[in-house]
Parts: sequence; structure tokens; C-alpha cells
Amino acid sequence: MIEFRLKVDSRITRGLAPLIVKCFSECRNRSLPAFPYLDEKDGDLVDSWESSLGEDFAQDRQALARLLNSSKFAHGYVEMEENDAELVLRSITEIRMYVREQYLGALTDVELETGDVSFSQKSSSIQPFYLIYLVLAEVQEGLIQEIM
Amino acid sequence: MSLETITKTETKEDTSLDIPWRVVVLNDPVNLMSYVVMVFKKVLGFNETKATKHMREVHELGRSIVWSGNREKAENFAYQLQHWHLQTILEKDD
Repeated sequence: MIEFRLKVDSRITRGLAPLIVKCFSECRNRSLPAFPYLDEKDGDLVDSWESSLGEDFAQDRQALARLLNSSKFAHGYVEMEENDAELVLRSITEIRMYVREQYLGALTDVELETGDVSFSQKSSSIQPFYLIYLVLAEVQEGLIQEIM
Repeated sequence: MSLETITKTETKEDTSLDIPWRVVVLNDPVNLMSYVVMVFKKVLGFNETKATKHMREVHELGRSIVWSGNREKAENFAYQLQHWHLQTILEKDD
């Protein structure tokens, strides 16, 4: 069993939890992104590749759903079976990519990579999504430390 | 469905199977450096030093060739790296 507590204040995680679930729900309902390598002339390969990845992503999302449905998560605790850790790591990456694409377009790649974000010049509507982006990154950091 | 199933669908004659292919990982602003290092270690079997070197290449140069060899194995690695949400392409190693 993996268990750790996030460093972020639990009042923030409580506030963000419903929005994380909303992003998760939106993300799981969207179509798969295009994959950069696929020989488009080979329709069988493209179909098999995308279908297989789609199934793998769905399995990963189930593990993340178990974490998000846990009442402890909203209070800043991460708790899961060890077998779920890699699936959750991947699924969180998918959500962070989705949040970046859908809600953080006003931030540059450099701002995201360095974390040097000035909210005074940005719309306040992106703040909760940026916090989600950071909190999910902290979950990933914690999981990586646990499993490596 | 597993990747084995995918490769089984590729039964057509394909001379490109004999040409070496490169697995190339592209930079993205989302993935954590520690995440990319971990994925390289898990998927490609790199040690910490090699995984970190390739992660830095991706970060600083925008891309890194992480493996080259036969197409089937290259596709297998590309599939796994895409499953971990790393932007991965295959190129012919001319």
C-alpha cells in the first residue's frame, strides 16, 4: 500500500477536488489525441494501435478514479494499492495535458516549465486550473519517490 | 488488446522491417523531468545516468533518439512510450 500526504494545504485540495473530478470527466470523454507516428496507409495498424492505446488509457483512468473517489484525497492524502501507482501516474499525465490544452493556453511553455507565473497579468479564471496542474504534479512526484 | 496483436496484423510484405528505425522522444512542456527519467528507466531499461542524459537532450534540444534497431522492437518501444504519454515518433535510420 502506498500512502503519503500532500504538502499543499488541505483546504486547497478540498476546494480543488470537485474541479479535478470535472476535468477528469471531461478528459475521459474526449476522443484520443492523434499519435505522431503511424503509417496512415496501413489502416489495420492504425486501428489496432489506437484501439489498444484507448483500452490501456481506459484502464489507467479506472485506477485514477479509485484515487479521486477516495474521501481521503480531498483532504490531501494519497492512498492506493502499489499496483495502481503506474496507472495513476500515466492517467494524471493525461489530465495535466488536458488541463494545459483546455484551460492554460494563456500560459507559455516557459512559464509552465519554470513555474514562474505572474497571475496579476493573467485572467483569474486560470488560477484554479493552474493549481490543479501543480497539485497533480505533486501527486506524481510523491508516487515517483514511492515506486523508484 | 496487446501489442502482440498489433504486430500480428502486420503480415504484409514489408521491406522496411529490415531497415533500422529510430525511436525519437520529443519535448513537451507538461511532463516532469523526474517522470521522463522514470519512464526511460522503466521502458528502455536505462540506468539513472543514461536516462537523465536523454531527458536533458529532450528538454534542451527538443528531441532525443532513445533507441534504434528493427522496426518491430522500435514500434514496441514507441507504443509503450506513447502509453506513458511521451510524444514519440519513429524515423527510418537512413
